[in-house]
Amino acid sequence: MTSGQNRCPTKPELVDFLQGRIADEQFNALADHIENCELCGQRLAEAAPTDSLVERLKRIEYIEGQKGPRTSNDPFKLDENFRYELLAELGEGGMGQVFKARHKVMKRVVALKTIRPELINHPEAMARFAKEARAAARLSHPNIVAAFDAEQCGEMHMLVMEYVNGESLFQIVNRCGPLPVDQAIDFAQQTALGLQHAHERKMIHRDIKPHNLMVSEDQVVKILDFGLTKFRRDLESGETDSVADETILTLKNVSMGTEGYIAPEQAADASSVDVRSDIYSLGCTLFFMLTNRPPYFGMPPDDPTAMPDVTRFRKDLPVDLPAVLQKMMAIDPAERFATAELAGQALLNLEGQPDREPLPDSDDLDATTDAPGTATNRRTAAAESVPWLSKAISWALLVATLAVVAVILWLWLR
Amino acid sequence: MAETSVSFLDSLKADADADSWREFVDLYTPLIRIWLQGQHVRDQERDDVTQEVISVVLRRLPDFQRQRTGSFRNWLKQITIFSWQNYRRKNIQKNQAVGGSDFGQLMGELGDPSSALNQRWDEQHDQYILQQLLEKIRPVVRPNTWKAFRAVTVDGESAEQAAAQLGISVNAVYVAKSRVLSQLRKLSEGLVDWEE
Repeated sequence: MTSGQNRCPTKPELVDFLQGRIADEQFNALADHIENCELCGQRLAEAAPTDSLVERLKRIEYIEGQKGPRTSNDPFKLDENFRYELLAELGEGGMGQVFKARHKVMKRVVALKTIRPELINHPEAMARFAKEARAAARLSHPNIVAAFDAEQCGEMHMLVMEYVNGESLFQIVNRCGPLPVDQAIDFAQQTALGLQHAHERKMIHRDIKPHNLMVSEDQVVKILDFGLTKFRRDLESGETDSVADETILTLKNVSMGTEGYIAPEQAADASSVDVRSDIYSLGCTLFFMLTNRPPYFGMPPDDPTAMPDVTRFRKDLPVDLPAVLQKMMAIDPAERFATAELAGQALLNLEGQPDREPLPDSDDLDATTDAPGTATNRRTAAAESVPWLSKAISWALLVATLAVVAVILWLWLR
Repeated sequence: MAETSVSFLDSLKADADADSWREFVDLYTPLIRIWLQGQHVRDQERDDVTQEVISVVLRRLPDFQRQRTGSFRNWLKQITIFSWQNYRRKNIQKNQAVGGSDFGQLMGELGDPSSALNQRWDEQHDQYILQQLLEKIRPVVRPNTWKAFRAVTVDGESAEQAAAQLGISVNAVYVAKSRVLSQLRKLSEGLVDWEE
């Protein structure tokens, strides 16, 4: 049909094809033929040559996405009784690698968060890890990534966690730019629900930021890493003296990346956090969702009046949103919402509120799209993220129209 | 998709650019470290020997390319053993070596192709190199081509199973397998004895 050759390949040619021994320049023609030829399909199944390279491939443990070498303390190689098989590496965090894995018997797909062995090479550190893992396992809420189990394999300890098929808020905003306002509020409000659940159980997250908030395929926000942050900070602050200085340094470097979101009282003294520190960080995260930038690059200033004004970056906001955001992000914890529930309630109340300033040309947009769902212009994501675009298009149209009129006039008058 | 792949070794002919060499060093340095690390050597020794192996390999690669006897894997193993022995000899004179008699036994095992240690090194080499080469190919083929290839090779599924899972014809699975396999075969040529 296409550019494929007409005659069927000979048996030796088929065998070469199956073994990947066809020259580059002949490959596509042959592939086109084979893909569309029923007879060749049957002959391929019959040919089935043994191939030492394929046999070798069947014996290796290939992990999609793994770039570096697997060291000898690779836990999954050592222990054949390990209950999970690895499917892919999801990433490398400050504490170790994260894998997507499947339970060999139950077939449940999970995320395995490994802790580098040198971080828990001491009974005290191990006890602390177990304690935090148990605390995390007590949390059960749709907006918190569930921790199922703590596992050990060889020297490696790991948390078995719910696998979330989705992206972090950081990835989403990086990819799409600032979110539609309603969506940003909804994500923040969902996060507040999860926080409230944890706070009621005496768990503070300490590292709420866009990177730690996963959004599942069905738009449910899931908070990552409850408990682990406490464990990590304990190590950083040297409460576990078994950890090498070098490792502490690396951990510190890792947490420096979250400067834009850490509450001022927490930055000053890691032990002085309470639920309001999480609320502060959530405010910063909402700021990021709306503007594609953290409120501060570096530590927040001491001067409360120096707080960044969200309306400088974004105009189409519900009337009360700046005040709610300001209250979440207040430098003085006493001025913030006292609980995540109160913050969530305030966010909920913003829904359906009129905008402070409507989008430019929003009337035109609504009139032309004529869709019932666009009652508020905030829901149109495209116009939302690029308000300047619709403006630019209007100007371009105006200029073009004027030019056409001028040409007609000129032709007519001549 | 026009793929003109050359083997990894062929990309290192005399006129190879700096990037090819760097890629080569980046690929093999971690492997030699893994080999040595498995024998519980000190970090200092591991790093010194690794560096020595890489420099010998770079110096002698043209000779290996000309003669091509045996696989690159075996050649690399020989150089590693040779460099390691050299290192120990020098450091024994300086009275710094540890575990002298164990080392002799270790060298004996490495010299015996049928020993468990030798086989483990081969295993680690193949596992590591194939993983890295597969990761080089994965981004340049279409996602479905990759999934089909993966299913019928590393995952050991039948062509019919893979076709059903991906919603494509069995013929398309064979084509996908062949497409990736031919790239892998070219890229890995000479590195390992697949046909042993």
